[in-house]
Amino acid sequence: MARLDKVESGKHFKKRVLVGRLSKTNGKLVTPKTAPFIFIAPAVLLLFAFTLYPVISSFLLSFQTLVEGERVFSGLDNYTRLFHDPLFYQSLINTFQLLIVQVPIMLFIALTIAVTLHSPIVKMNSFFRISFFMPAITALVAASIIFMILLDENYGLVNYVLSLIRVEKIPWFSDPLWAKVAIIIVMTWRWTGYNMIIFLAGLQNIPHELYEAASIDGAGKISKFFHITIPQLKPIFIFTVVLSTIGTLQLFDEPFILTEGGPNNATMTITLYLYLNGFKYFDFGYASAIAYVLVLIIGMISWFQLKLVGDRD
Amino acid sequence: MRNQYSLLNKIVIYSFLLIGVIISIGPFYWMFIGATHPSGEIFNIPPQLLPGDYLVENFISLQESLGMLKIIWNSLFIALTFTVLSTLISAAAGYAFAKFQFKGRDKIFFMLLLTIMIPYQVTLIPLFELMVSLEWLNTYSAVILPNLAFPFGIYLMRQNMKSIPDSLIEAARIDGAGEFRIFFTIVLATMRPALAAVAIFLFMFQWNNFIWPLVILNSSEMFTLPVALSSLIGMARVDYGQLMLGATLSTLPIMIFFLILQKQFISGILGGSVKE
Amino acid sequence: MKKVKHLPFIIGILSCLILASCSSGKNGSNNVEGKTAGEITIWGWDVAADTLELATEKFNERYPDIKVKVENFNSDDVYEKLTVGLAARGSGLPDVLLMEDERIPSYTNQFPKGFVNLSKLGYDKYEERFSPSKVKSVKNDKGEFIAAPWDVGPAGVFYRVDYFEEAGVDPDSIKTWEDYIEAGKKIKKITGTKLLPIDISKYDGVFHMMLQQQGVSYFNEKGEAAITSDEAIRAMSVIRDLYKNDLVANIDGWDGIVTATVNGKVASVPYGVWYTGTIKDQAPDQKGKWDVFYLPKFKEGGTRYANVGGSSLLIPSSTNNKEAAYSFVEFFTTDVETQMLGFKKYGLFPSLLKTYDDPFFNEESDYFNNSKIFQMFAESVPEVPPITITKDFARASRTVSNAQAAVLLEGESVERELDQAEEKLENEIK
Repeated sequence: MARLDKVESGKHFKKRVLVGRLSKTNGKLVTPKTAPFIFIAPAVLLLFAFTLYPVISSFLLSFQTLVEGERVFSGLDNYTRLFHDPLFYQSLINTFQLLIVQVPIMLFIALTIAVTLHSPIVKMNSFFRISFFMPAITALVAASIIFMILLDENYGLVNYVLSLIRVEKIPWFSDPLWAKVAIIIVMTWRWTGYNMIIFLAGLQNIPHELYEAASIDGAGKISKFFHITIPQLKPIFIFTVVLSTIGTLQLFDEPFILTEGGPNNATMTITLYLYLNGFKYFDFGYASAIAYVLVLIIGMISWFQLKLVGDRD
Repeated sequence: MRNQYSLLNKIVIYSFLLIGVIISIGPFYWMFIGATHPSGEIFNIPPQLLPGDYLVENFISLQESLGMLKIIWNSLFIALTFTVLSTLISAAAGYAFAKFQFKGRDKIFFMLLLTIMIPYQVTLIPLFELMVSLEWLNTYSAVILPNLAFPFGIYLMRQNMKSIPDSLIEAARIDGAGEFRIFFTIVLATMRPALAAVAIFLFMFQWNNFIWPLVILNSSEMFTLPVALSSLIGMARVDYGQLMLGATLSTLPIMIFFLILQKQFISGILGGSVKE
Repeated sequence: MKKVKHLPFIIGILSCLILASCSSGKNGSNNVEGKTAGEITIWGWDVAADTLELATEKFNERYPDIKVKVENFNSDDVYEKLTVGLAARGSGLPDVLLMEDERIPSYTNQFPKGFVNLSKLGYDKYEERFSPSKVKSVKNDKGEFIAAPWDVGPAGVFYRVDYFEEAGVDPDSIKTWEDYIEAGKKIKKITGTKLLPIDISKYDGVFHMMLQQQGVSYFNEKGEAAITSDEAIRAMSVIRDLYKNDLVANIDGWDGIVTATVNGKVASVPYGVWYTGTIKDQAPDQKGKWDVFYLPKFKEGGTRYANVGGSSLLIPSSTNNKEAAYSFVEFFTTDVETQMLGFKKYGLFPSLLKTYDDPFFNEESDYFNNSKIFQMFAESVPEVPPITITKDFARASRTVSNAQAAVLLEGESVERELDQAEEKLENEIK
């Protein structure tokens, strides 16, 4: 399909050039030929001004180190140090563990809710939609305090409720495994509704005719789900997977606020480690090196995910 | 249709949804309850379940300690200005990427996507230096400008713009409409749902944006809500009643924004990419 | 003519941008006329910021031409802004800044030119007015004042009078940490309450108090990691014993400590003097149920005194008005009345020794079981052993917290974990 698109727009392109020539004779500056450049100009200029410079500058910083408050060139030191830093590897492992467990759980729940809400059986759609979306719009300050108190080992509401069904107190933040579970719970709480809305959008965009045609062919509900809904949702699904992957690889807020990377670095993520090095230990060069290794990792994984499903865009 | 579903089916589905709703909005309810009680009561076990009568007192002390009304105004001004400008910029760029062929198009778009992958923590200091040299410390522009070209917004717009039939644009051209006129009267008009979707994402981002405004704003008259709220969390004393009220207030505008735009939001969120 | 039509759009965007940049506040102090005039900005947090604000009134009686503006942030936010500002070669910083003592070495070490040397402006003459441990914490390794001392946090054990009475424990009989553990067992048995809260995996505050009361820190005098000292092993062993006897409530974060305190889930809390304010604020109904005793001793030696927290004032070198900033810092930290203001109203315990003569220190506190708790804390201030804090304090504290978690939660041996922690720390700071 994508290729077809290109051919098509190529055809239009020729037409456009024609129209462009026409308008030029009228002495216009804005022609179909120059228009795209004018349309992207604000975005590109802003990007050049406020993104490109900081990115280049921080990239250069990754080859420098701070001595007595002055920046000194240090070659690849920061990068070689990185490859021998056990804590960096641990943060890498932690981040990937969270990624592999959390993203599928979250997307599965999100899809289930979206499909349920999409079915004609459910009324009060907007009430449910806004309810599920609420966590995504919470101020982080509020969310963090809420969960600190809810998940407190001794006095938290969650353990209190669990004790009613005779489950022993769970050491949410002091046990390495449970701390990861706690982070996963909070991430899932925060972002499931967000992804659910995206899925819901995808579901509503599936043409009714497809289902109707299938009905005529005598397909059952389940067969329709697997033969129409799932394939039609594929692009959306890829989209949420890529977004959630990037989001999780950059995971910072939850461990920063809830566990500070502990206990014993069990919830230390890559960006948290980056932040600690930069802002707590003032090692900005090293922090930058971590950041660009992370960019490389994210780039490779996103590329791989897109390739895996056939490059669409 | 309706008869297909048994009562049991309905009960199962609704209880599943209800549990989800409780988990999703329970914490908000608790936050709201906290906002209506004096400070220490938030820790009571079992927790308070009913609203107290301390809401007005909490608001008055919040206004006294933070100048809450000014803070809300700052946040609204910054978030709305940002949303309007950035939505327009995203739409324009998305339109160019989706509907025109030009040199370097795919490269520029690819670069744009790459910037999503860079963690913000690392560009904080150079960006700050940039603002220093522009003498923009402690200004609204410093908060608004750096993220105006929002890659995710541009991406969403581009995906949506693809669904505009080329024939529509061509027809307008043949009728002699200028490129800007086409953009404003035809493209934007057909893209309303997508604009709503992008606007919500942008508003959410800017409204909750914390670290950058914190770093760049220096005086309390300029603060946005998250920055001001954060100053309530001291080491020795925290007034949890005030804090919860502040947090409650900070979620209200997005809720309202979402309620108003949700229909368009959902149909516009990814209109384009499905159609491929 | 069509072009004109698009102009409003472009102008619109441009004017928005320009307007936005115009509607902004001015930054800082630009008019440096004369030595002690102008405007200065101060960054602080919480009640300390409120105190600074209160102090401006009296300050202006003496220096009517200096306008003082105090900005109130969260303490973490102040550090974040400070770090960015210093990294950007001292931009956008205030004229005076509040900082916790334990952070001073890391900032001054990493940004040696970042702060004004107060000794060069004549602050040395006030040295005698403060306690030795406080003085040490605000000087650089050359013995010069980098910060002006403000408040301190002499440590004590806050305890619930009613629980102790119910269990028949006499707080005066608790002399050593062993006594404390025995008392805890009794209280646990009779009232079912744990003895103290510790955020096991994130905060090693109790451990550090125990180090300081024995006169050491994470570091030796050369600044090398020293967490395998006898003192450290003793301290961690006591914490392990407390935990083994099920006397430690493992809580989470600051909110966790407050929750445990307010809900009566712990019979005592070893902490700094400023915790009095927190207890009073969050649990007003527990009036008369709290009291304080000094930290128990180690039978091997050391004192019963330590310090938790405390902060001081610094002047960033980027200030445009060094004289005015110094005038304020000098006035604020050495004026008895001003220091008492912050103490009486907000419980910020002054390090200015002369303040302790104020009759307020002799008063009995009705909230705290009618004890003269402030006098008690005041008497301990000059006795607190001075210790060496280095730039790596944050890393050390983190590393020890991890070791603490391993010892308590995973049952590892104290010696082994501290050994490993020291090795890790050495690797990180070399």
